[in-house]
Amino acid sequence: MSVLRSGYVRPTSLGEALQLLAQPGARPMGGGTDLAGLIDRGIGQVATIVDLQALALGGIRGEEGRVVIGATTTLSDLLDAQDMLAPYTALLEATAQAASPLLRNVGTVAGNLCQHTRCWYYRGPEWTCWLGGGDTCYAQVGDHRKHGLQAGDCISAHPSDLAPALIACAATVQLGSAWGDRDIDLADLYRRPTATERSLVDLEPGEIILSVTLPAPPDSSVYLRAGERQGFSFPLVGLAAARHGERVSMCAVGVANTPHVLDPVDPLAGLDGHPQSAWKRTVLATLVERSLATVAP
Amino acid sequence: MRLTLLVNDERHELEIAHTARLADVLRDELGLVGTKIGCGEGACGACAVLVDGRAVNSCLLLAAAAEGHSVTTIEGISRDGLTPLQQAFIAEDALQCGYCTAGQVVAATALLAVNPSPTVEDVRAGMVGNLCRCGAYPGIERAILRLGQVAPA
Repeated sequence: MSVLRSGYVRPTSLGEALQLLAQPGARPMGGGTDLAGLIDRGIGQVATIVDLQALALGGIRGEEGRVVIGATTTLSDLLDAQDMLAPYTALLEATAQAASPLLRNVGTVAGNLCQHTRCWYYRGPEWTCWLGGGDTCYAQVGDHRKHGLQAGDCISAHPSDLAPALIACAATVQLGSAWGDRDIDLADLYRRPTATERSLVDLEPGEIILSVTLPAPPDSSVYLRAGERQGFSFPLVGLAAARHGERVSMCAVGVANTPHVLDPVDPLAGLDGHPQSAWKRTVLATLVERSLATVAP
Repeated sequence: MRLTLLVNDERHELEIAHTARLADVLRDELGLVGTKIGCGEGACGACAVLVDGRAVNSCLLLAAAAEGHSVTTIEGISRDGLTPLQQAFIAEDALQCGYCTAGQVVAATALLAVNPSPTVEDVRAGMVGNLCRCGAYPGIERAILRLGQVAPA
């Protein structure tokens, strides 16, 4: 078993990596674009960085009508695999709009799914907000123009473009830890943080994403988003819709602190908004209307 | 931690904090101050360098993660004098204050390496991670397109 050294380690086998991650204070790193920003702002305790780059967890392969995307596949790798991913239109559209080429060259699929919120109170070194372990969601008493629409302890907005596209396409994630592997729906990776678990992802300590699997493609799908500019920006509201026969799955980001699966009968249910963020309801309603028109037979 | 970095084809043995960002190591340890730090969070691209030929934000890359890879900074790109792309930046007046220029040149160099004759749309999409607060975008766009036109077919 590998001995945990303080600092940085780059294991060369998955077994070694999972043993290292099982120890307190160890944090997994894919490309590091999110982790480096968090370290810079002093968010979270990072005793040891376990760099996953040498584990060959990247790459995209088709098998039996499914597509398996390795955890450390970069967003640029996804765009380079247009042929294989073409049936999953929403995923390609979401990836092309996510971040910039500079970030997509480094940022990984698993990192995109597990990235922390852009909430300026969470990111700001001046505050320890509720999500960060404190007792106040400063957004609710302060500036929450770009925040979520749900009521709750934390009104941050989830920033991932990939998550809604993958969830609408019914993706599953394969998780690994020193204690074993499990396979869950990507939608179930996310949970609203609680008083005792201030995390948006339902990962056990030391558990990481190994891969994301897309089942047979939907009949049609789309990802639409409203950002501050047409180019690189985090989604203010992002919406993926995928039609599987008669049924349409819709998942939105920017409206809740986790990717939010919409009820097709009442897409805005539970998304009442806050004084400064209620405008997002109008945007979301518009994106729902447009996406349903796009995926219609 | 001890670290060996390959920067502009030169090997450097360094002793750094394990959380050190590549941008800081390049500037403070290696004196390669052509790489600029603007926003420090991946939004502006002033810190762009090439890692194995691909443009990345060195402010969001841990130096430790760059070990085993080949890093090229603006100093490495223009080691033999101004490149045709840099000359095009001058000819097209593609800068004002110049703070973003190194990052712009690095990103454009990477773009042209994979797409030697980009369209306007290719340039805009490819350069979306590089901000210019002086608004020299039209000149930057023209400079890159100019290179594309003279590139061999």
